Parts: sequence; structure tokens; C-alpha cells
Amino acid sequence: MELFLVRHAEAEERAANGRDEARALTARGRKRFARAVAGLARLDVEFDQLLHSPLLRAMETADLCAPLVVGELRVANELARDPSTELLASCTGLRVALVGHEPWMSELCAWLVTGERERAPRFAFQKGGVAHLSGELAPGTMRLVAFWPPATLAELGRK
Amino acid sequence: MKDAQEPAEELLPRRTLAHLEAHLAVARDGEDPEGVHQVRVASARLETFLRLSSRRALRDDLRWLRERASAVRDLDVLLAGRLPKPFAEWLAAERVVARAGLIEALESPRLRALLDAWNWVPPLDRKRAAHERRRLARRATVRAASALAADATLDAFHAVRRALRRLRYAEEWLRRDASELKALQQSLGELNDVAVVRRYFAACPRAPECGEFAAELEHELARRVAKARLVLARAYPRADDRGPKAKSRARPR
Repeated sequence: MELFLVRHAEAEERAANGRDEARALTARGRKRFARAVAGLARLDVEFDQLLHSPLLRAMETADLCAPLVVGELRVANELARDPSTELLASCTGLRVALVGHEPWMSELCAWLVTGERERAPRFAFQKGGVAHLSGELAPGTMRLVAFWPPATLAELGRK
Repeated sequence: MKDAQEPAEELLPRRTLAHLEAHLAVARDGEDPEGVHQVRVASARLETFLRLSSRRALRDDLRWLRERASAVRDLDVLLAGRLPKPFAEWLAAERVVARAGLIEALESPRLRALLDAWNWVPPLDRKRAAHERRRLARRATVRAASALAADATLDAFHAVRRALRRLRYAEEWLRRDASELKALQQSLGELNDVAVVRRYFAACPRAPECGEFAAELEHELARRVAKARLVLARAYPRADDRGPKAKSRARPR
């Protein structure tokens, strides 16, 4: 399986209603991440399944990823909490993207690659950052293929 | 179609969401078939809300819920009609399977996540929504032209019905008069009802036991296709005799 872990793009500091869950992407975050998606497209990345957290900033990041999705795009509460086996069980595609938040994205990355969630700080994601993992979807068994900062992907996406 | 100006804060799906949540329990209970029907309708309305917001997230989730509800609703409608006994018995068994699929969806973490996520979906932006509505109107016109073509298949009628349903809900979200679209959608819905019977009948292993039913079905289908064409041609008078560019400009009267 090819797994792409995506941290949401840059979001506003505070939502109008004061709720963290309702924070939307900033105009700059949208623009930059749209370029990063163009960079992923240039690398021929596509997903047959994309799961995203129910928080607005993750939904909006998933919207921007939509051109890369050739299959299903679905919401998963498991992406707004500690990584779990339930989350892994929800991944049924062969090329799956997970759009979520820190610290859970780096915990998930560390867990899948090393088997140890405690090593998460070594796998910290920037906003809009993407990690590409490959192999059997189980803790400690996946290979880290690439870890792209958003600026690198955006550079690739420039015309 | 008149545009009734409403403050932007009114363009929130709160009532439709409350409607959906209330009917999820009715659908789960299963005593009143209206519960399943309303889950299907509310899901479709919310899907259009997301189209008007240019949002892709949650649309597949709503479609998944709507399809589960539709499988049960279609069979409820079918079983309420006069059918040969072998066909009705087979449909009743199919309904048990469809209902199990719906219950699975209603109890799933995916539905919980879908409802949670709706708490954070922002209101419609009127300008963006108006732009998306125009796109839906153009699509409906193109679909109408396809359905009015001499060699149109049932799929073409299905496509225009779906396009008109989205356009109708878009008009309703934008507080515009959708009564003509609703009437049009109803006529196409009558055709779809028979098309659904035919689809199930084609899959029914006990069809050979059903005597003249197949012939009656084809006759009824032809009658409803003719009626749907008539209604569609009245609403889209320029759609069947112009080129694609002219077709896209045609509007329902």
C-alpha cells in the first residue's frame, strides 16, 4: 500500500465562533497548498481513497486534494484523535491519503515506520506537509519513501 | 424566478440537518417508511448545499448514506404497488438485505463523523452559490437536450432527473421559486418509478413466473417516456433543435 499522510494547510488563528474545530484555511494557506497539490500531481500522485478529519481546516485541505482523488473521499473521526487500529482498518484503498492534524500525524508516521509513537517529534509535519509511506499497513512495517515540506511541493507545482 | 433577499446567516443548513437527524431515528426504527424517505431527501439537499459551496468533502459520505436509504425506499415504493406474487416475494427478501445495509450505515462511525463534521461547515456564500447554481442550470439544460434526442436511453432521462433535482434544491437553498422544477422533477420521477421496477424485474430470478407482467411493464414504460419527453420539451423548448451552444443557453420557462 502507498500511504500519504497530509497535515492540514495553514489555518486562521481563531474562528468567528471561537471554536477550534471551525477554523478555516487562510487565503495564503489555500494558495500555497493548491500549489503543493499541483506538485503532487506533477509527481503522478493520486489517491483511490482519501480520509479526512471532521474539522473544517482538514475538510478544506481535503477539498484542495480532490483533483488527486480518483476514488472515495470520506470523513473519519479517527483522524481527530490518537492514531488507532480503527483508523488503519478504515484504509481500504491501495493509494490512500489521510488528512489530519498534529501531533497525531507525526505520531501515526512514527508508529507506522518505527513501531514507536514516542518518536513522533522526529517526524514533525509542517502545515501542508506530506509524508509518503509504502508497504504493509501495520505498525513498524512501513517504509518512509519521502517527507515533503510544503515549500518543496509548491516549488514542484510552479508552472 | 424571483430572488428573495435573505441575510447571509440564513443560508445555513441547520433546519435540514435537524430534519435529517430527527429522521435517522425514524429510519432506524423502521415502522414509518417516511423516515427512510426523509433521510434520502435531506441527504440530497445537503449534497447540493455542498455543491453550492464548491466543497467536495462530505459529498461522498452523503451519497453513501443516500444510496443506503434509496435502496430501501425504492423497495418500499415498489412493494406498495400491485405486483405479481413471485416478484413481490423476491422483492421482500431484497428489502431485508437493503434494510440491513441501511441499519449498518445508521450505526456506523462514518455517520457519526459526518454529523460531527456538519457542525463546522460554514454558511453559503451567496455570490459563489449563485455561480454554482448557474452551472447546475447549464448542466440541466445539456442533460435535457440529451434526453430529448431521438435515440435517448433511460439513462439520459435518469441523468436529467438528477440534474433537475440538484437545480431544484439549489433554487430552494437560495430561496428562489422552484415550483416549476418540482413539477418537472415529479413527471420524471414517475418515469423513474417504472424504470426502477423494470431494473429489479430484470434481476428477479422468478420473473418467468410472472405471466404478462413484463409486457405490461414495457407498455407502461413507453407511456411514461412519452409523457416525460412532452413535459421536458415544454420546459426546454429550444433544447431539441439547436446546437450545443444554443442548448446551453436554453432555460426552463
